[in-house]
Amino acid sequence: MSELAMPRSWRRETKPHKFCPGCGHGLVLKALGMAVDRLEIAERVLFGCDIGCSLLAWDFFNLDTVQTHHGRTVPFIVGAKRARPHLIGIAYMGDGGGYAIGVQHLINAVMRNDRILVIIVNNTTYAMTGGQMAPTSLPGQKTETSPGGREPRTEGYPLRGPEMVASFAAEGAYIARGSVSHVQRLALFLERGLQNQIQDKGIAVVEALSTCPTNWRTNAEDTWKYLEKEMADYYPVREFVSPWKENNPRGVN
Amino acid sequence: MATSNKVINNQTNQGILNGDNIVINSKALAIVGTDAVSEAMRQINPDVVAAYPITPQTAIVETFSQMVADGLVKTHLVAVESEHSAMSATIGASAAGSRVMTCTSSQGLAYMWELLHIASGLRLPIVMPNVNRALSAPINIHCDHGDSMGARDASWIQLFSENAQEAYDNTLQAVRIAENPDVLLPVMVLLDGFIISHSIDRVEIIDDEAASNFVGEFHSPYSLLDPKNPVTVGAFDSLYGYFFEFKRQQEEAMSNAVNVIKDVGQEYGKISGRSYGLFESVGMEDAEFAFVAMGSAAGTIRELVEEMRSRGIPVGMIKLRVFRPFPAKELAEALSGLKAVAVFDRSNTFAGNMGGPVFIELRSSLYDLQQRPLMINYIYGLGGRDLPIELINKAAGELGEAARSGRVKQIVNYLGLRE
Ligand SMILES: Cc1ncc(C[n+]2csc(CCOP(=O)(O)OP(=O)(O)O)c2C)c(N)n1
Ligand code: SF4
Ligand SMILES: [Mg+2]
Repeated sequence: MSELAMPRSWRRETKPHKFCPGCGHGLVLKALGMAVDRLEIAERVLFGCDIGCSLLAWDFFNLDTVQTHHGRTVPFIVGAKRARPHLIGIAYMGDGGGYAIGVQHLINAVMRNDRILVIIVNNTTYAMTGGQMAPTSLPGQKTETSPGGREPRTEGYPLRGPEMVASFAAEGAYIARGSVSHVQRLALFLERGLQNQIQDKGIAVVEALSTCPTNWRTNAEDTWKYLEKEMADYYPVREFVSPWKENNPRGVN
Repeated sequence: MATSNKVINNQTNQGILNGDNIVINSKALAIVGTDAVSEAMRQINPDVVAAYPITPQTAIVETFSQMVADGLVKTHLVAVESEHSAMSATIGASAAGSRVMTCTSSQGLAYMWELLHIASGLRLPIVMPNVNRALSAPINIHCDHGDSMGARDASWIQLFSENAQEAYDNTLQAVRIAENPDVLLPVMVLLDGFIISHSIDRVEIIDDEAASNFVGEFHSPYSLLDPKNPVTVGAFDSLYGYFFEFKRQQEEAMSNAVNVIKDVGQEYGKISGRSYGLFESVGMEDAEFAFVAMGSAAGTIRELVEEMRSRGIPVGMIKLRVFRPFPAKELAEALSGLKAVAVFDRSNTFAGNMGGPVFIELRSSLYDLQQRPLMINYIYGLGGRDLPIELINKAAGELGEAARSGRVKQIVNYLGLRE
């Protein structure tokens, strides 16, 4: 089967999935499914979904899955990983869960260099609750709690999560930002992140720039423009810290 | 929104208005419960609001954010990163001497837990609407009272609402109750998630000026940042300090709140035509058996009670508005002489089949009565499970049977549970 078809690790019975049309979550999970397939680790994965639109992924994969509560997916997976080091622990969360209510866990897990993969879906809003301002909302972005647009003077500038944790990440950590506009590259970043855990190198944090046409109130064209222009301008798509050699794209030294 | 001006005179409000002709200016809006609360917040015009979104509370902050953006209030709105921070910022702003509010639901309230005790321990008159929603796990966004019951020993006053109108009325009154010098405790205004928060209801919004005069200005008795009177708030108290005395004073304040709540409820009647007490009695004058319930379920139970009354059945209902302070003495008076009482609880204590929190506390309240009614507990509606009138009817049958036979078949029952 070609790799572009439905990843093996996806649960067919639950497709079509429950995300809105045009939502980026499905593409992030596509990239993750591809990475899990390539590494053939499905039996070992523990997939943790945060509260947020991530929760719609509770039956997305043929993987052991746990529904945690808002912002706490990182410590949950850290605990599971310590108890069962053979597990491949994945914390799947939104920018609200990762950078607002649960940001202390992200910081401390990176500091401890916990052997887990954290995926943070950056859609610049709290989508599940109806589109309020998130730490990632862009300057001027109108949301339900910033009806006049985000005002940097009082509400500050958007948080660049990977850049922040890269600034103090320990040896062996893998920190990158991908985008759903480049699913193959995102899959590669996720694969490297998983390799980091398999080979016991360090933590992996991969942010994925994503779309939320429902709360952005954008049509297909504007959705994509917002992602590729506004978001990518503010949030560079690249690897920040990596133990993997440049010439080894599959992340195996 | 349709608005109309309405005049209520002593004809419609005899008991309350004492023969005075009072003109009440209000407009009736068709709005959802969350907007009713936002309207009250607009009129209160707090100095600071710090909040984090959570279903079903979110719409309160969203509407209020728009009000801030439109310049309708002078509030500093802080979109904090969690409820823990929301309550912390609220405490900071309140300790600094301003009038502050926040609002939340469910997991958000649970996440505030350590701060709830700090707010009440510091005697800060914070007002917080909490839209009742079940606690995880499994995750559920619908109504039950498990969230606020988790805070029942946090020394917060708790006012329950039957509908959007009461959520609005309670929010305005909460400010006066909290800030009363004999009380100085935080107040939680409870409204049922979705059933009240997201249903469109007819809500009378009183005139802005009347509301603002009723709420009045806040003068913090122990404000920080008063250079002539420097104070330290919440300082470390060692083993031989005053901690125990502090806690005793909180209990005193809670007892004082009983009369304050009644007075504020009467005064509110004069500007709105709707006066409030600790609970509402329906058909209790000659009832032989009765229901006790809180929140939106009271509306459904009232329907049935009225229907049964029309068939000559001696049934009544007490709708409990104030859960903290628990009006034990007043409830005992109201229920003494009855043959049987059915208590409806929208949460459980998980104490080993002891029943729900309202049941346990009410049972304890009636212990000293010479003639205690028989008591049955119905736990219902967890995680938003519906309470149709047929289920209440079933409970009514069992209650009537207990009254007749003088025997309760089963003390703790689950209504609407799939077994
Ligand atoms: C303690 C707590 N506070 C608030 C909420 C409400 N809540 C659920 S999801 C969410 C935000 C989700 O935003 P994000 O993490 O960015 O995920 P997205 O839906 O955008 O993918 C919030 C605030 C909650 N469930 N628990
Ligand atoms: S609300 Fe936004 S993030 Fe959530 S499923 Fe819909 S498009 Fe995706
Ligand atoms: Mg988000």
